[in-house]
Amino acid sequence: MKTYIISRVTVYLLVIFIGISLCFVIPRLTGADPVEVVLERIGAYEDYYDPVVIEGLRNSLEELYGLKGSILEQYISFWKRLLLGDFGPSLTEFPTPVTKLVYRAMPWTLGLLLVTTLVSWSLSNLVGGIAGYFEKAKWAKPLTAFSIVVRNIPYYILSLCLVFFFSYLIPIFPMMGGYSIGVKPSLSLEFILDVLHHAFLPAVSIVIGNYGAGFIVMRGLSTAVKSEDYTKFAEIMRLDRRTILYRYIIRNALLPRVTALAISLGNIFTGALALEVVFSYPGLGSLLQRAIINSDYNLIMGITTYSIVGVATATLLLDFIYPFVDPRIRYK
Amino acid sequence: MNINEIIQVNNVHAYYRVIRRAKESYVRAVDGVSFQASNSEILGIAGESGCGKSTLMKVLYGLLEPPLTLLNGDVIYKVGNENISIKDDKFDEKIRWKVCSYIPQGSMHVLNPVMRIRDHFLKVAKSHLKERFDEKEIYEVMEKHIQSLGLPLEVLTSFPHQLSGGMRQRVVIALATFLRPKVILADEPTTALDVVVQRGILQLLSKIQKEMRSTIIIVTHDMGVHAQITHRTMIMYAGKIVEIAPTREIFKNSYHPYVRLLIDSLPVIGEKRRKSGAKGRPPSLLNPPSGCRFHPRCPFAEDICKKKEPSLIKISPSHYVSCFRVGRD
Amino acid sequence: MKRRESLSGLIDFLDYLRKDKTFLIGFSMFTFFLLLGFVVSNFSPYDPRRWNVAPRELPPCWKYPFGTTTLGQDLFWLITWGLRNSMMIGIIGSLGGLAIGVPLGFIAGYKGGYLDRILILMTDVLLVLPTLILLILIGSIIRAQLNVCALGLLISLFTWSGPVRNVRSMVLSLREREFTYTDVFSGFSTLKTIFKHYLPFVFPWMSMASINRMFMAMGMEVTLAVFGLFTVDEATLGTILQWAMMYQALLRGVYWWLFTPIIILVMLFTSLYLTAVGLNRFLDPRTRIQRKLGGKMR
Repeated sequence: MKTYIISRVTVYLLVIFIGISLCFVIPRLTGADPVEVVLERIGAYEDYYDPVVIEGLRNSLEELYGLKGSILEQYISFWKRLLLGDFGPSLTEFPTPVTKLVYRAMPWTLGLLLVTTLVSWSLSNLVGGIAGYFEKAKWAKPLTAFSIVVRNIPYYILSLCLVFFFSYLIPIFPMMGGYSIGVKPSLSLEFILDVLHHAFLPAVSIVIGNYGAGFIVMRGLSTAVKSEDYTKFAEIMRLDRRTILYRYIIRNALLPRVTALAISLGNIFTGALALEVVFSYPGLGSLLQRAIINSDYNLIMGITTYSIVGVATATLLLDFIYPFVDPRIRYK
Repeated sequence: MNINEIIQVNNVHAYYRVIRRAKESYVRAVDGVSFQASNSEILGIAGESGCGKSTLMKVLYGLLEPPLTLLNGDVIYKVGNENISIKDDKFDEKIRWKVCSYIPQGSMHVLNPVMRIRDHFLKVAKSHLKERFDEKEIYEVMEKHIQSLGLPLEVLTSFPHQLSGGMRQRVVIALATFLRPKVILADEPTTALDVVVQRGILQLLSKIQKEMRSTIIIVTHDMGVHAQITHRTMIMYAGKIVEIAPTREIFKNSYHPYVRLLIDSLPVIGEKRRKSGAKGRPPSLLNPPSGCRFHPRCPFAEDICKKKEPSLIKISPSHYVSCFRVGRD
Repeated sequence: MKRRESLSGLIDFLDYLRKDKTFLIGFSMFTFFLLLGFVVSNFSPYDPRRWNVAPRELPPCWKYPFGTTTLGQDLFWLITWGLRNSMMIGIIGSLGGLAIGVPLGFIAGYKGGYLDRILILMTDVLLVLPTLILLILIGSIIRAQLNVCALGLLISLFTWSGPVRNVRSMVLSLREREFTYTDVFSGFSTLKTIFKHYLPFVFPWMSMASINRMFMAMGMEVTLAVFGLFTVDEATLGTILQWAMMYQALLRGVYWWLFTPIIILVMLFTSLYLTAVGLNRFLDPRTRIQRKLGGKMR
């Protein structure tokens, strides 16, 4: 078990190191100069600026963007600032620091993601496991067909359909936003209900989207476990149906599902980000889009870095949980 | 049925249904087998691979999953005053694992990898005992049972992968004897184990039989196992019984040519003579030879052997052979 | 004997595909889209990048079978171009990643040792890295140069880790088989072994993988389009969707603009999925044995 933990932590550290270094390298590789972009935008408003002023602006911008000094110096100061959580001010809401914007948006994304991922993963495992065991049951077929259809649709598209039906045609749910306009965020029941009301459609899109593929995979796993020697022996011993279903089939099929979850975290995360744009949901996704539109270099960097760290950490957490699911790793 | 009998097997024909090129044909794994098993005996079933012994075990336990079908015949268990056949509705509930248990081949992999050993026992108890029971009581019973089979207490809290092959085999035997069944069907219980462990398992089975007065039916191709613990041995060939007798007689005084060749081929300490086995290979069960199935390989084959199938002839009260040459003497 | 075995395996595979209905339906749908995208699009009377070539916001009619957009584009021809570009990205991303990952997988599985461990570490890292985020980062910076081919290549570069793992495990088990030892003793070079004997086994998996990867690559493309990362020029199914949303197609009642790309996408994905299912049935070990048995009992 020790070797397992060490290897997972090594991967984690490498991911963070390589990922963040890539964040550093890529913008510099492409030769795009963020300072120029900003200066151009400012220049678009007026014809003439005192060159001295522009030089001064350029200097401070370069410092702000960490573009001063040699590459190595930049790299080191990059890491220094990162560890302090300082990404500089954002362009989108100058001079609000990037970290503040990220922290404002993060709870929305996290809340949405955590709930939907857990729900869709658990649901698909449960239903998929049962459907795999009772292969021939009448209710299994339509359920499978539904999942097959749904699996093909990226949930961003699914959400568009949902918006059309339940927001536009039959206005039950709001089309956008995290909460109603003009309402002040507070911890009152009213606000919470409002939030849930707004979060419903986005959440349902993600849940259905993830559920589809998970169901099919789990069903396959369940069928495979069903034909294992130990399941057959359980049937020989006449253990009751419930035990076989939960302790044998689902419990064993769960192992690769945990691994699959860890691997798909990145995709689930980015998919949710795209979804947020559709709903103008006030999470990291919408923030990222605004950053891109505004060529807000710092903000993009900030969000990217936090995303890499976030996804890597979540994966590591799942890696830590895995030994508790698989006794063969726990006791070597 | 004899008072002392516990299983009666009547003319069982159990085939595997195979569809190839849109035509239906049958692999005749067990082709007309009849015998009885008595209380408190160890009966061995021997024969080459593919002779039908494992299929016979499945039939005895009523495991008739497609493509295996019971075309003909019956297996009847005598329990108390009742005769329950495998075709009965209540066979599953009353006999399976309670009166008769089944240890399939390959016990390495029959334990649930994510469940502790004690949970295996608890689940067996829970699934079979109708009344609510106190977990602590059952746990005590478990511990005693485990220990009587030569296993340390730590086994109960372990997971299967933490145990060695021999220990896992013992656990499976423990599970099979937990509900004190009258019959235990063991299919190749010692294959894949080294000889020392093998001996331990066999002694264990012997001990169980003596203490619980149960019947054990062991299937194995290893004649050494039969020599060690079985009381009676039954030799099968190509889906049929060719000889059945007390084990001593099989080894010292057998009649069927196949059995003689089998026994003669076993190595004996001190003997330096060259060993010979039977020529050729076992026949296909899709299309068995006409008449006596052994005739293509039998050194004594005669005309009649090719045309008619021999039936089991009684040589002595407990010794039966299926061969035309024997009936004549 | 071995050569016949592996070649006959390949023939088995193609022969089976010929008869499987699911596969045929999926594959023919997919070919239809291929034709639409790569052949029909060339006949488009307009340059897809131009606006105002047709009256705006017309619902579907004879002249404009899919209607027109708020920007004055003929949706039908726009979609054929969109199909072309999306599928290009899908194909490049899918096959490119395989081109990198499969050989690496062979190397890792066959050679083992140091090389193997390094490759495994690299793939583990790549797997955890949220590649789409990095793509967004890249895209946001080189927006002007992000054309179809570039995106396809980028996707390949970030997604080759999956095939490495799968191919590696296949090679590991193949390595233990008898024919490998025979090869080694006969003096076959590594390359020869791989091509003659391993590839036929790996090939069915590769077909499956290329389809799944197309899914993934096109999904990525659509997601990237949401963030407005493409040049305004290139029409892909994702960007068409994105423009429809940007111009409030829903609220303006220009439903066809919004839903046609969606429906096309879903149908495209479904066709891919059906193809994959047909392939998978061939690969499933249980049905494989049934087929083998049916053949062997002659």
